[in-house]
Amino acid sequence: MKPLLNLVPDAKGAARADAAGNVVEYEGPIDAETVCAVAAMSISTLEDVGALLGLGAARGWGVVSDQRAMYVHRHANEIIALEAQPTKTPETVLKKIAQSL
Amino acid sequence: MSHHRRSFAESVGVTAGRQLGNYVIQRKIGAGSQGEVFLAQDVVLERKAALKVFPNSAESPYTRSLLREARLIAKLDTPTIVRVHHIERTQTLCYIAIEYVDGSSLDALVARSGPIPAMQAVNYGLAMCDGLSHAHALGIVHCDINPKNLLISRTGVLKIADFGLAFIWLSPSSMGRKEMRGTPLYMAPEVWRGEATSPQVDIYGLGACLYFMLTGRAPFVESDLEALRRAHLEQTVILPSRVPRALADIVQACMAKAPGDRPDSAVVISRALRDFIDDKQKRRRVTQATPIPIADGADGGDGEPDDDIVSEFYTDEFSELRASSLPEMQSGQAAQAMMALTPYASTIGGLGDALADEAPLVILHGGHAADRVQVGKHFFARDPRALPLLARIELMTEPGQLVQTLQRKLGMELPARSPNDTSDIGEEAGQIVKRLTDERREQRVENQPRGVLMHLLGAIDEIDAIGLAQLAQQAGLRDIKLVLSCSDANAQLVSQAAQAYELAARTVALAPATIVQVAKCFIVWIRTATGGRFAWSHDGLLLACDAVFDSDDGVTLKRIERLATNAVRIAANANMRLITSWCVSGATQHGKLIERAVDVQARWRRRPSAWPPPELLSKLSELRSKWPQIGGAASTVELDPPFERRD
Repeated sequence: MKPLLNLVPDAKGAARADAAGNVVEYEGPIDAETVCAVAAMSISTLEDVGALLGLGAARGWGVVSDQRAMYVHRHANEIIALEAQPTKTPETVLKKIAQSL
Repeated sequence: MSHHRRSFAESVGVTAGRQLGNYVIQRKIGAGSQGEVFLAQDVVLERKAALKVFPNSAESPYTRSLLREARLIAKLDTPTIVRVHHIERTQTLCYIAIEYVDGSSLDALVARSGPIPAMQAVNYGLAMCDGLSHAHALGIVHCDINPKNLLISRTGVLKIADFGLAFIWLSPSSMGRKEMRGTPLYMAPEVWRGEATSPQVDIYGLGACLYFMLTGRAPFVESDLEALRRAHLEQTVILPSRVPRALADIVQACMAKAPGDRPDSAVVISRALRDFIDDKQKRRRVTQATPIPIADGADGGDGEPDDDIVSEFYTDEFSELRASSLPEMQSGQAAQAMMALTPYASTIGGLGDALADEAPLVILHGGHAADRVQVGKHFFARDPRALPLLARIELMTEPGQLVQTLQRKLGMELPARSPNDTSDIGEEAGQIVKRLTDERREQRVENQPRGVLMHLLGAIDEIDAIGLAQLAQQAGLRDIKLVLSCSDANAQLVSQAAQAYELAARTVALAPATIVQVAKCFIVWIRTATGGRFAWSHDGLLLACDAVFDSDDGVTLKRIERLATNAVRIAANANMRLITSWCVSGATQHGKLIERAVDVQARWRRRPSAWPPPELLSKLSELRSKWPQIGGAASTVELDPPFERRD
């Protein structure tokens, strides 16, 4: 997870979890369990959204607020979640997460 | 080198054996700022008395105060206030002989045994009302009603003591007394403010003492006096969810901040408490529960009063959490929802089938005793196939003692017989059945079939088993079915006895819950109790299941409910809606039920910046391998997302 944090300068923490949202490893001061569990729980909803829009399965997404942002990238049977300051566009961050794998 | 500072009594030679008037000092039983209290024997009237001994000084405010107290109590004549027998002054000392209450203070009683069951607290409340209404009618205000000044005799009679701060309340138009004196934990707001006081301060104290009885603690507990003052002046008193709503309302009314908002008199409170009892009895009649009183000490072993279990378990009215910063929870509904899950649902179904059968004896066994109690209660309260209950009896017995214990519980005369004598056992069973049929006659349902639910705790022997078989046989002839809830070992003995007597008996087993069933209980409980507003993370659920499943005490619904409740309350307090392993770790660290935000230990008030810690991450990884059905990627337990709205 450290290389990923280095790739995204404003990142606070990152976590890797299995498809059910169980944390495998994490780096940085984040509540990795909550982040990964919520990421896993949101998959089915986002898949519905993707299907309704005709986008297909959602590969990555971000939730951005004024203070913080969370980005999730699905990779094989894993979830990579990253919490950061909302200074970059979601596309940029998601691309960097994908590059780090 | 230690110095023993001699007390006033010692300095004037008042020690064991010394006689003062008719009173021979036996031992010291207390001491306060105003003097010392001794247990003494009145050698003329041959009764015990409490002797308050203090210096005789005309100038001493203590002497004046104590004499005034004695004169005030002497005016009072009711069994709920300690009586003054005698007062005497010698050259050096004064003593007042007061009625001796052989027992302890309410404060000591609760410290020893925990909160008092609701119905008992109501009875004590009624005694307080009696004493206070009598005192107030004579214009006397106690001014220091608190648990240390309420004495409970060994026979359970409450008496109000210590009128040291009492004063005469002249009329409603008088100004009362403007002094800040009393016991801070129980002092009314107007006393804190130094305003004129009236009988309403005793009403506040009564409410605070009721709170203490029901919860085991003072209404407001703060670290310093200023915070306590603010709490009494500003904070609304909050009672735990297990306290029946009607009682909570009475306590809150008594503890209103403005004296004018409190009930007008102790008589009004007494009426409200009696209404509560009437209402409770009415509901009992409606649910056909327990006409025969059940004595203490056999409530399934979890230490909670029987009434409270019933109300907490079945009535949502009582389960609403009235703490502003914590979420409301429908624990009653949640507990019922758990009953719809395996293995409880199949046991309840089995009970229905067994009762539909002709057999006069149904034996419910297996699982944990506390769960059998819950299943039995649920079945007889809710299931359409259940017979109306004539009695629900919880019996703690030892081998060879069953019939006698049962007779004692039913308030019957005990015939003398040797422990191994079985010759009269049939006759004794017949007497018990007669007692039950008398009860049925009193209920005016003489010819209608009825059930008796008996939870058997402890162990029995073969003779006890024969007694039970004969009891069931004779009860069956009178259309009374015996549903016996007991351990596997006891069930085997009773089944063998039934077989020997050619008595038809049906057995229903409560299977121990599997880990997946425990997980489902947790999910259903949280979903139902919080209306779908809270949900589990996999790791939170995994840790909770492991904590309950691997406990030495075994899996019980009560433990599941307690852990889930604490986890939700820790989550809510930290503004979380996902029950993570952090919430569960906190929940397991709290020995008692979290009822208010202040009950949450400091360490568990703010969600952590980083979680889980490395050692927990390794443990969770092990648990996922240990319980792959609930924790791993191959989990068969489906979790709810916390943001899903459920109507």
